[in-house]
Formats: sequence, C-alpha cells, structure tokens
Amino acid sequence: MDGNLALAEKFNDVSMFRTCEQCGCCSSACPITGVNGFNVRQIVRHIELDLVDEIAETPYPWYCTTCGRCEGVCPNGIAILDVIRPLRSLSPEAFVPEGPAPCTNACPAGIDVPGYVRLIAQGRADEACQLILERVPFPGILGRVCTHPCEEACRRGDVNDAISICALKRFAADRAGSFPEGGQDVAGDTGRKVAVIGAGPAGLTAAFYLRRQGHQVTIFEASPKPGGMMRYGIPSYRLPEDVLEKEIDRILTLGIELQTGKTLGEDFDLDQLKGEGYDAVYMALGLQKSRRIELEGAELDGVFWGIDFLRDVHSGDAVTLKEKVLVVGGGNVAVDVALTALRVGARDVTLACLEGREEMPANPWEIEMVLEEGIKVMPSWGPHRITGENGRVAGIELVRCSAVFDDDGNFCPAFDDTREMVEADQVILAIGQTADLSCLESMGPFKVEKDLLVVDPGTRETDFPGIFAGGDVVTGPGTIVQAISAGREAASAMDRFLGGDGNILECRMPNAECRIKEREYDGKREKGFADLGRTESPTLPLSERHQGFPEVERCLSDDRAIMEAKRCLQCDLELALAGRGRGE
Amino acid sequence: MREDIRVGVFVCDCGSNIAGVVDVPQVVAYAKGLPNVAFVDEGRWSCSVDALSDMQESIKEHHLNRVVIASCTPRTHEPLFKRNVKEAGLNPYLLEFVSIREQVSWVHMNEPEMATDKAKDLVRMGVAKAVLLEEGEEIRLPVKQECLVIGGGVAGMTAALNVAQQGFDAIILEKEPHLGGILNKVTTVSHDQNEMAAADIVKAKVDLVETHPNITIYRNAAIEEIEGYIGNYKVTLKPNGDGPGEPLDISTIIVATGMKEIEPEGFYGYGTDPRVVTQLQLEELLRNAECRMPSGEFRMPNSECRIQDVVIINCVNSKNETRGCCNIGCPVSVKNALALKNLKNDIRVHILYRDLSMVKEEHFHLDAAKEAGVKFIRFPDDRYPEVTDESGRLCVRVHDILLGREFTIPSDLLVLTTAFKGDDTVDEIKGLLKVSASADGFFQEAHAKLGPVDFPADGISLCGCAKSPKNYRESCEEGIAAAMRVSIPMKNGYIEAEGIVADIDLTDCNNCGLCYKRCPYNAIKVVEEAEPAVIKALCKGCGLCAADCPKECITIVHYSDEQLLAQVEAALEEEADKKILGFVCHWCALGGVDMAGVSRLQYPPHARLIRVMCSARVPIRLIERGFELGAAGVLVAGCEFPTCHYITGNYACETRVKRAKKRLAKRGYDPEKLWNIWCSAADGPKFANTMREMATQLDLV
Amino acid sequence: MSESIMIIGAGVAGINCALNAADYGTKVYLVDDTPSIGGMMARLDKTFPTNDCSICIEAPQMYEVDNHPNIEILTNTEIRKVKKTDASFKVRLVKKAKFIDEEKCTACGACMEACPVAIPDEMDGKIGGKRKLIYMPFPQAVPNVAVVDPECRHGKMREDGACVGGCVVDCSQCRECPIALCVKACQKEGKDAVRLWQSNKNLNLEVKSIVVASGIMDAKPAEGLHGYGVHQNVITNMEFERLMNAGGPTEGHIIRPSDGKHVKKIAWYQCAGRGLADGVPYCSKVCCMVAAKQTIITKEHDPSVETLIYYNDLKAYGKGFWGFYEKAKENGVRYIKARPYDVFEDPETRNLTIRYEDVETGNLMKEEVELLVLSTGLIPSDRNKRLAKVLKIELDNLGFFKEEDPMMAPLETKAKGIYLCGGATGPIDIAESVVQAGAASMKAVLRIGD
Repeated sequence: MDGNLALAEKFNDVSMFRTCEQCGCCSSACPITGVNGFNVRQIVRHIELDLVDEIAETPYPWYCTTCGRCEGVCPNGIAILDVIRPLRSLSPEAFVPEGPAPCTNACPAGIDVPGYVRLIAQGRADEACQLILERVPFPGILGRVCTHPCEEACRRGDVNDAISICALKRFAADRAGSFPEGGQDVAGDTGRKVAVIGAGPAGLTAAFYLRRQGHQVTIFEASPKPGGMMRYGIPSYRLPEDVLEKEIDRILTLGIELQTGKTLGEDFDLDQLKGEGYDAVYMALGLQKSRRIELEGAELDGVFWGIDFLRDVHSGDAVTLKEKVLVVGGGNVAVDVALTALRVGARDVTLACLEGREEMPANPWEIEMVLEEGIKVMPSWGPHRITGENGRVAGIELVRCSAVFDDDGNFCPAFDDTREMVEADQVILAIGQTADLSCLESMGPFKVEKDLLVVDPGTRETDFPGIFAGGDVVTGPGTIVQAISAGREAASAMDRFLGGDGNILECRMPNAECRIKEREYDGKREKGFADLGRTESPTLPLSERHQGFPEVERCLSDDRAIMEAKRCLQCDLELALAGRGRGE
Repeated sequence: MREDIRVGVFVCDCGSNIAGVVDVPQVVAYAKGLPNVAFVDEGRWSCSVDALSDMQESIKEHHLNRVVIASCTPRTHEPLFKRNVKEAGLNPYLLEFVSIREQVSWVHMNEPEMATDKAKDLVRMGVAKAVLLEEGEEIRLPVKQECLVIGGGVAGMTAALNVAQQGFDAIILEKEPHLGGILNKVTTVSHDQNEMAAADIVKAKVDLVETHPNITIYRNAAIEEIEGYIGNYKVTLKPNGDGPGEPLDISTIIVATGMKEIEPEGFYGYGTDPRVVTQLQLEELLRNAECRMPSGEFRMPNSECRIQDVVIINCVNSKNETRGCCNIGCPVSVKNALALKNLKNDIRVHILYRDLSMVKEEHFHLDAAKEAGVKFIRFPDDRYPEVTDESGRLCVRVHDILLGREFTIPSDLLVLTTAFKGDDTVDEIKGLLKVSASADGFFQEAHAKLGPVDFPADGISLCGCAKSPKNYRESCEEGIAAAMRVSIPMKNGYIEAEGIVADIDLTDCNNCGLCYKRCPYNAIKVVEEAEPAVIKALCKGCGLCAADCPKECITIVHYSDEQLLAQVEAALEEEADKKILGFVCHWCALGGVDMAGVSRLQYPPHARLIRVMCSARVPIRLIERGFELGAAGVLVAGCEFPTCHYITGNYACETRVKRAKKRLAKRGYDPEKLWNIWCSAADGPKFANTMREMATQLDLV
Repeated sequence: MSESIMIIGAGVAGINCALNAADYGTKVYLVDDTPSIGGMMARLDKTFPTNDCSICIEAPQMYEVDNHPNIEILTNTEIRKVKKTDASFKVRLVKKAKFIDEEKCTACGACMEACPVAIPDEMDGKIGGKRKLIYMPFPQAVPNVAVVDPECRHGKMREDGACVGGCVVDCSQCRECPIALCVKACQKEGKDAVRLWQSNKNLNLEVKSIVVASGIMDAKPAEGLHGYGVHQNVITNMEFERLMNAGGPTEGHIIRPSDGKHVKKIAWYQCAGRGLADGVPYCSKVCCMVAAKQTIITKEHDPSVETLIYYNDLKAYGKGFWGFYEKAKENGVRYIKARPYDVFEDPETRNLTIRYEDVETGNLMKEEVELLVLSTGLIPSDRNKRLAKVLKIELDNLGFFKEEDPMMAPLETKAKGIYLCGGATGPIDIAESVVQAGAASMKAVLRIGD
C-alpha cells in the first residue's frame, strides 16, 4: 500500500476522506448509483483504505456526472468530487472519454455546446451566438427546429434532465444582434466559381462556407424563394418566416448570388454550368416529392399528400379544410401536417400510423404537442382503402397493423383482419418523401441507389469530377442539422478540390483548454446544483394557437436562460481538468 | 351490627361531575340505611378546604371511628383525605375510599339509574370493608451509620468517599492487595474530550480514601458470612484475609465488586499463541516500559522484533446467542488503536468490527483514529475473520462489507476485544445477600429504569461494573448515587414503611417456607426455631405471601382476607348474576380504570371493582367465593408485563389465575368466566374494551 | 444559611433528585417552567429495554413528589435572577399565571368542554392532537389542575371565539370577565377556579445549592428533510411515540396523518439529519433502542404491520439492550444498513418511496412505505442558554452544560453549589438520568465542592 502514498498526495486532504463513516448517504443521493456498477461510496471507501491504485484502474471515476449531489448530502462534509477528479487524472487513457464533450460529439455539426452554454450563463449571449455561427449558419432556425441529439447525449440527463440546449441556442440567436461580429469575414477572392443547386439547408450551408473561403458562389433554386424544406416543409408556427429570412439574408450578404425559379434540367443543366465557368457544382436537391403508395380511393377529391400539402399551405395556395381530417403517418412530417390541418380549418384531426405509440418515428415532444392540441392518435393502424361519395372522400378504412418490422428490423408491416371505418372529409397521406431525380436523366448517368444519389463518402463527389452532392438527396430524409452537417462537409471537400486546404473552421472564441489554463474553472458545485430542474421554453396558450400560424414556442427569458445554462455540468472543462491533473 | 363501630360516609357531588349522572341524594339515603353507618353527608366538593374542615367537625361531633369517602379516585386524592382524618384525630388507616367518579359517573353517563345503583353497591362495599378496618401505623426500623463497601475499585472508592463525607463510617473491603480495581490495568480513561492517565486517577482516589478519617480499608479481605437486614447486618470476614476476627456491625451495604475480562479461550489461538492478547493485556503492554525498544519501536517484552502490524478484532465473544453487546469494547478498541499510533505512527492498525458503538463525543476519538491512519473494516455478523499462521506471521482474512470484498491483513499482534463478566466473588455474594445476578455474573438491579443503583431490598445498593460494564465516568456517577441511596436511611436514623404490611399468625404455620421464598424483598426471615417473621420495615405490602400461604395464616394490614371477603359479599349481595367482580391493582390497572374515566370512555356498568395493592394479592379462594355467590364473571387486572410495582407480582398472579381456572373447572364453574387482563395506567381504552367484551360474552347486555 | 435546595426542571431526573434529597431530610423546591412536572418521560409510551409503560412507572413518583412534606412544587415558574453569596444562592423566580386557582381546581374538565377553541397541541399537533385553550397538560398531570393558554386572551384566538360575547375590553383590564365560557362553566360547577385576570407572581428563595435538570429535547427535522413538513406521512420518532401511546391523540391506534388509515408498512430512518447543517451533530445514543422499541410495540398492536429500520451503526450499548434488539429482529423487523436520501410521495396513495443504497450489497433499492418515521436525535433544551446566563455557568460547544472537572468532579459546574444531572449533561436515557439524579442529589444536599 505504500506505493499509493505518493498517489494519495494528489488528493487535497486525504484525512478528510478517512473520516467517512460509510453511511451511504452519498450513494443513496447519487443519481447514477448502480448504473454500470457505479457506487460513489465504494470509491471513497477505496481512498479510505488507501486503495487508490485499485480504484483508479477502473472506469468508475469517469462514470461520475460530477453533479456534486453526494457532497451536498454528506453528513461529514466530505468534498467527494475531490476524490473523483484526481482519480480521473490517474485513470488509464483507455477510460478517458473522447473529447470534447458528449453533446458536441453528438451534434452532427459539432457545435461547441458547453462553450456557448457557458457564455449564456455568463450573460454573454452575443458571444454565444458567434460561437454557434462558427459551426452553423442557422442558429435561430436550429434553435427552433433542431431534433437536438445533443440533449440525448447530455450527461445532465443522468442527473435529472438534460440541459435545454436547443432552447438556449435559440435564446442566443434571438438575443444576439442581427449581425453579430465574427462568422461574417470573407477571405480574399480565389478566382474560383462554384454553383450550388438547391437553396435548402445543405445548399445554403455549403454556399456560406465556400463563400467564406473566398470562392464565388451562385445558388440556383427552383422555388420562388430560398430555404427549401426549412421554408416549405416546416410550418411557420414552428419556424416563423422572418427568422428564416433573417438567417438566409445573413448568408447571402456575404456576396452570394441567388437565382430563384431556376430548375435543374428545365432552366439549366450541368454542362451549361461548366460552360459558364463554374469550377465545381454542389447538388443539394433535397427530397421534393411526397412518397406515394397504391391505395384504393387515393384519387378522390379531398386526398392530399404530406409534403405537397405543407408546401401548398405555405405558398399561400388557398387550402381550407373541412371538419374531419385523418392524417396517415407517424413521422415528424405527419405531425406537422396534422398540426397544420388544425390551423387551416379542420376541427377534428386524427393521426393514424402503422407504428405502436412507442415506436412512432416522430420525436416524443412532437407527439406530445399533437396530444396537447387535441389531435387523436390511432397507433398501429394502416390505411386499407379510402371510401368516397360522389368523388369526394367520405372516410377511410383502417386495418390493424400487428407488426411494423420483421425479425431483422426491416420495415415490413404485417396486418391482421381487424378493420375500422373512420369518417373523414379529408385524408392526408404523410408517409414519406422521395427525391425527384428526373431532372438528372438527361445528364447522367448518375449512380443511384434506392432513389438516392450516390457519392464518394470521403470526397462527396459523384462519379463526375467536380460535381458534388449532399443532403437528403444523398442520405435520404434527415434532419436540418444533418443537412447542415452535410453542407459543411461538402464545403470542406470542395474547397480542397478547388485548391484550398479544406479548413473551414474558425475558432475565434477562447476555447475550453485555454480557460482551464487560466484556472477559471475549479469544478466547485454550488449547493443545490444537482437538484436544479430543467427549464423548458414557454409556449403559446392553446387558445391562441389556431388563429393563423403564430409561433408556438417562445424564447426563454434572460433569467431563465441563465438559470438553465448554469445547470450545465461543463463536461468539456471536466475533461480538461482531468488533463490538467495529469500534467497535460 | 357492631355496636362500637360508627361509620361516617361522605359522598361527593364533584360539582355536576358525579351529581350530574348519579342521583347522589339517593345514594346518601341508601348509605344511611347501611349497618353501622352513623352519619352520611353530601358534599358539593369534598376536597375543598371548607368541606375538609366540615368533615373534621362531623367526625368529632358524631364520634365517627370509620370514614368512607365516595368521590374521585384514591390514586390522586387518598393522601389528602388521609391527612384530613388524621387531623380529626382518627387513625388514617380507618379510611376507605370509594371511586364513584372515575368508575361510575364519567363512564356511565347515559345510564343514570344503573350508575346510581352501581354507586350504591360501591358505597355498600366500602362500608362493609370499613367496618372491618383496623388501626395501622407506619413502621420504623432504626438504622445506624456504618456502610460496608464491597470492592475497592473506582466505583467503590467514590461511594465510600461520599458516604464518609457525611461523617458516616465507610468500610471498604478489597480482595486484592491494592485498591483501584480494573483501572490498575488500564492506560488512560476519557470522557468527552478529556483524558487522564488511569494511574493518576487511582492515585488521587487512593490518597483520598486512605487519608479519610471515616474510611477503614481492609485489603486482601473476603466475606465469610452476612446476616441480618438493613440497620442490622453482621458481616463476618474470612479468617485468612485482612480485617478483624469479630463480625462487623453494618447498617447498609454498597456492592461494587467490579468486573473482569472473559478470557477468550479457544478464539484465534488465544492462550497458546503469545501474539494473541486481550484489550486489557494490550493496555498492560502499553504501560510496560520494557515494550519500548531504544529506537522507540513497540515490541513484546523479551523480544527483539518490533511490532509493525496490529489487528484488533471486536465482538470476539459478544453480540451472539449467549451474550449481548460488551458495552465498552468499541471505544476501548479505538482508544487503544490511537495509543498505538501515538506510540509510533508507522505501526499499522486495523480494527475489525461489526457495529461501531461510538456515541456523542466519542466520535471525536473515532475521527482522530481515522485521521491517524487506523483502518476500520466492517465484517458481517455471521462471517467472523479467520486467522492463520503464514510462515511465522499471523494472517487475518476478513470480509469488508463496505467494500464487498475480502482482505488479508498481516499481523504481529492480534488484539481481541472480549466481553466482560462479573467478579469471581459474585456467586458467593449473591447468595449471602439473597440477590440475583445474570449468567455472566452481573447483579440485577431493582428496576432497569427507576432503580438503577438499588437492589429490591432496602439498605443495599449497587454500583459500577458490578451491574454491567461501564466506563470510568459512569462508574463514578453510580458510586455517588449508590452512596446517596444508602445514606438516606443512615441520615434519618431509621427507615419507615407504610402500615400496609404482612403479619404472620404462627398458630397454623407449618414452616413450609413458601412465604420466605416468595417474598421479593427479603422481608420475611426465618428466625429462631425456624419460624418465619416479617421484618415490617422491609415489607412493601404486596400480599404475594398472603395469597400463596397454604395455611392462610398471613394477613395484610388494610387488605386482609376478611376485609376483601366482606367487599366480595357486599358486591354480590343483590343480583349477583348481573355483576362482574373485579380485582384491580392499585398501580397500573386502577390507573387504566381512571384513564378510561378521565377520557369519558363509556362501558357497561356491570363491574364492581375491589382495589388491591398488587394483583398477586388475590387468592384463589376469593375468586372461588365470587363464583359461589353467583357472580356473572370475575376479572383480575394487573400491571402490563413487565411493569410491576412489586417486581414480579403480575407474574405470580398470572400463574395463580391459571391454577384458579383448573380449580374452577373441577368444581363445576366455567373457567372461561374468569378473566385476566394486564393493563397499563395509560390504557383506558383497553379496560373499557374489556368491560364491553365481558358484558357481551357473559350475556349481560 | 439556607438548608434547602432548588432543582430546576421536573422531568424524571429532577423528580428523582428531589425525592432523594427530600427523603434525606432536605427541603426541596422543584421548579419547572411548564404547567406540570413529568418532563419528557411523561410523553413516552413504553421504555426500553423492558417495555415498562412509561407513565405507569413515572406517575407514582410524581404523586410521591406531590405528597412529600419536604418538596414544594413550583410549576409554570421561571428563574429570573440568581445571586450567589458565600454559602447560598438568593433566587428570584416568577410564577407565570395559569389563570387558575390551583387550590380550587379539581380537574373536572367542565371548563375544557365549554371552551370553544380547539388548537393543535404542542406535543401532538402533527398527528392530529388538539387541545382547548383551557386544558390539562396531560391526564396524569401534577399538579392535577387545568391551565389557560395565555394566547386565549389575544389576537386570533379571541377572534376564534376564545372569549365569546363580543366584549371589547381586555379581560385582564376589566377583571370581571363574565362572558368567558370557561369561567361560567367552572362557576356552574360551583368552583370558580378560573381566574382569567390572574397575574404573574414573584417569588424569592434562598437555597444552599441548585441542581440543573433542564432536560433534553427531541430535535425537529429541518423543514423538507426527507420530506418532513412536505409529506404528511413523514413524522418524527417522538410523534410516533405519541401515535402508539394509548393516552395519545389516536388512543394508541397507529394511523397515519394523511388519511387516518391503519398503517401496514412503516420505515424508521435512523440518524435523520445527523451531521447535516440543520441536524444534530452527534450520535444521540438512544435512537437505535427507541426504534427497536417502537417496532416491537407496533407489532404488538398489529403483527401484520411490516417494519423496517434504516440504520448506520447499531448502538445497543446498555444492559439488556442487545437482547432487546434481538427481540425486535425476532418480531420480524428488517434492519437495513443504509442512509437514504430521497423520499418521494405518491400523490394518490400518499405512500412514500424511499430510494437508498443497501450498503451491505452496494445495490440501489427502492421501498414503498405508508409511514416514515425520522429518528432525529436529542438536542440540548432550549432553556439552557438562558439558564446558563442566569446561573452564570457555562455551556459546552454543543449547548449542554459544562462541567468544570469532568474526570475528578463529575456533575459539578464552575460555580460551587450548582450541579447537573440528566439531559442537561448530554443525550441520556432514563436509567442514566436517574443515576445522575442520585449523584447530583448527594452533591446538592452536602453542597460538595465547598
């Protein structure tokens, strides 16, 4: 045990840990006791018995969330985190989690989440927004519609609830001035020209970063306005138009030319672009068509298709619904369709989907909103046929779906004999999206698999040199943040193709490591820190939601945002702290 | 009708408390017609100052020589009325108390007629007993001022000093050549955060007792015989020890015989392996200068090997089927571990324990030990450490439940925290004093809570480790307290007992010895010619002996068979088949009855209760008599176990009631009609429920 | 020079101290600032390790005190000033008005019945105990007289109807107060013992020594600790003691505060709050046995009740205690070594879920119980600070009275002639209190230390 004495010196006050009475208060309070065998009391017991080596060689020190709840309840006032942190710096490399932090790792765009959350906590929303802009050009949009995989990964969720990262991002974007400094610099002209086809999230992102590298960028968009699915697929009660305009404007003001109403294959083609001197093309065509299925009665008056319906509503085409609407589908689009239906005249909306309640692909919080607004959900039902009277929809016959997936997990719905008739004035089928690749037929042959374009996973290039592609048209339906990620990756690859170094990153904000060196962070948890509860965004009262499309979610107040940001465990700094303990 | 008996009956209205339910004038009129009743008065408040003086006047004016008070409850008001009749020139034992508030008006509020009938019955019973009452008197036994202290440890010396300070004589008997007892083997003692060397304490105390003019010390002394009782002991010492050849005249005795470690024979090689010692042996090593090497290291005497690893195992022969917690092992083990660390900090010390019993500021020592680096391993109750000899070193294998794994700890010295037992002389002394002791030789005190330094018998006290293992401080406190307990009679010069005592009529006595054996207070002694006699000053009047005497030759003053029988007969004079005859003990059961009253718990009015001092007073013949007279049922109510004002009276009653049931069955009565309950003074609901149940089951409703 | 002594505090220690000294022949003033003697022991149900009924064994001693010619009981009385002279203490006391003529009151209860205002009582409020504004401290109280809550004449209580009839004059001013219902009821009984205009009385005594037996208090948990004060079915062990006491507000029925339901599963939480900022900083030593006792008595009430005890280190340190613990285990109580932290209430059933790590296995466990009893420990009496000031003696850092030389002169303070016993010295059980009472009485009658 003597060998441990040197190690034990790493602990601030070894004798303090020896006065532990092993009462079990800490482990009873610890939110992760028993998870993967974690037990904070036993970790202290090791120190008490001078078994530092033994415990340091386990992964347990890294399981700790460092929430500090144990310290708050310890009757002997033992600073238990002062055991955990030195142990972390003693632990073998293999156990050290990959940096920079779980949320950042989970973010497709790799946003420095702890960084901007910390800035918000310090009351520096402007800087927070700048930090976000280093990775994504749409903080305000993502702050509203991101599926936030970061929150799933957030370690605060192990303590009680994840940080409201998405809402904080929105807060930063809303509070920041319209053009915060930074992220707006453009490098000197490289003399290269790039065409981006499609002004959706992927295309705009690629254009943004390519432009910042000094390339000339032109965007060709088939629709009258830019934004793609952000504009036409997401109803404006979730993403108001002004936010969209503002953030797209910010991109375009970098000196990007936008040509709308230009459809590939109709108004121009790839050869033509080459002829006009474009050195590279990025095809971010998206998935423009609703997926359609063979269904009896699908041709009746009063049958709509998901994306088309949303686009029509958004374009201002007079879509007015009657009393009863039945929406088929269980994804986010189906949810948006159902909620939109309520806002264009429907009184009674039902959502039927193949999946069981727990299997529905829509995000849980979306489903909650559906229920909150009074939409009836019928899980495990598939459409059998649409019935009509006088050529108009009268109802739909549903059939009970007994299983959605086969044993291998592939989509393979099975039905039994149970049927149910549901009366409906309209039926909206929101069962997926698909690409419209017909425009490429004349230019091909592009390699296509399952209706999606195929690119080289490293270079993002198609089989044709200089022709890149990305976003949903390559990956299939994805989230906005995935599209942004795709745009960033493409921009980096294309920059390399165009002779640049591909480094589109810009780190202007002081990063975690340098903060640690300045010893701004000591990891001390304030009393009650662990029990701070999650703050959700305020929402518009139900009664006010259905007149038009007012935004449902509201921005956090300054106080609440700061309070929420202060809940962050700052995993990035914890990692750095352990590194510091190791002498890094 | 006895011509010379003139009973005065005073019925209280208690405002409307009694008169609001009971028709008091009717009761008064009824009382007037009872035999021997010379005067009856109704009082609004019999306990008021005016009423009390009126009562005195009436007693004088009407030449009353017996008084019956029918009012609230004797538990609170009997002393007041006793004083009052005494002031009127009447012997207070000629007063009988009838409870018509707690037993009647408060509990039968909705049945005024039946309540009035019950009140009449109770008054009739009271008068019947009063007629037979005899004068009684407090009994005094002279007590002189010599106190014998058995044991010259710290408790005994402290007790002796406190006795002697009052000018009384204290005689300390110590069987060893030195005073100081177990402290002579101990290094230091502590209380809260104060610590002192045991040797200093012993020296200070010995100096005080040796120089005190009133203290005589006999060392190397042992007792041959003790005869007598408080104020009158003759103590003979063994001839081969110190002390006079003559018997000592002693008034009171303090037992302070102390304790010793139980040798943990057979545990972990103790007794054969010199590396295995007890805590006291460790303390002796710590006191021994030879155990220090010139370099400051710790060693066994006559050894050149330094001791590097010490393992202490707690609860070695305690907290098991035969024995409980040793009481002081945990603080001792921590103290000694700390002493080892203080001696040489690089000695590694492990304490293997089950539950650490460290209270209040003892935690201070625990923290100090932990900070000094003593390691504490908690092993499971059913999995004691194992010790093996691995190439010359002891290896202790122990499972730590706090870490959930096993450790092997090397050990140069294995210290066993062993339990304690009373001194070897305890067996002898308990026989001489006729007191009891546990299997481990610790004396049994009179009452676990309220008689912690008393024996049941007056004049003998108990202190220190003779009762159970104690720390130094507690022993001192007990020594002083014990001194106080024996000093009270020595200061007064006498002890006094209430007149309610046993009296043996030797005419029919056949010297069976039952009374002598049964008496919980050693108040009955077999004197010359093997005849039993009551030492009245020691008798508490429980009546256990009288109820059990096969020849019925013991009388309890104020609760004689004759008096109780008169009450039984009076109770069952009319409509016996509608009545439940009840015997209730004064201390708890009557407390429960009163509690039911205070709480206004309503129950059927069938019971006619007769107060006895202890449920053990009730003889089978009285129960039988009740059934002979046609009682619907009989109830015997005593204190809830284990509480008994007379130590074990309720246990004696329980066995007797079982016998009574068998007898009743044989004689053709339904034994199920004899009820027996144990009722605390707080348990009014239980008594009320019993009344309801009895009424139902005996078909009285 | 005075030959009498004064004992401050009339709990079991003060009572025993008084009886010893009085039997010895010394005149004793037994002073208590509450309306009755008896102290904490009078509130207990049973005593460990013998399960003796507490009031059954204490009440006879209380009556003995009451009838002892050498003892004068001064209840509702506070010590105001103590002046030490060479051989004695001159003491100024104030007997606070009980608003009752103690000579006349017979505890008949008519006044209490008449009083229109019932308030939760100090002892049992949390578990449903109520008393009137004129009340008996407890049925066996000594002196056995009623007492009027001084609040009766003030503020809210008066609005609630304490003094009905719409009189606008303060009855202490009016001195007639014909409208108070208790006064009328008492007059109707012919006693006229209620004296609403009674005032405090000053007393002066000279005594040769003083014994401080100010007693001990059960600690109240910090608000919110393990749900105390938040969830109704979290109570302290003293509240539970009253719950199972036949003389308590539920007549001994173990029913829970939220819905009066007979409880079928109870957990005891030992060392609740110990060491925490608002908790007791030390081991109070009696709680382990108190919990064992309470489980045994609970099982006696209803053997089907499930009982469990969360504990740290079992303190079965006294004579017969281990056997008592074994008895509790034989009766089926589950001992779990753990110190839980989180307690959640099911809003519908009002049951409590306790989340804890079983230290013996290292596993995280959950247990749902119907009632949670917190063993919060014993703390110094809140009288101590004031008493120490008046008596000019010191308290230790925990708030107990300090002994000048605890090793060689136990129970003596720095002021010669002032001695300590019972809970005044620290957490203590009844038997130890009685021992110390005996020792302190010896010192007091002899005035040891001079």
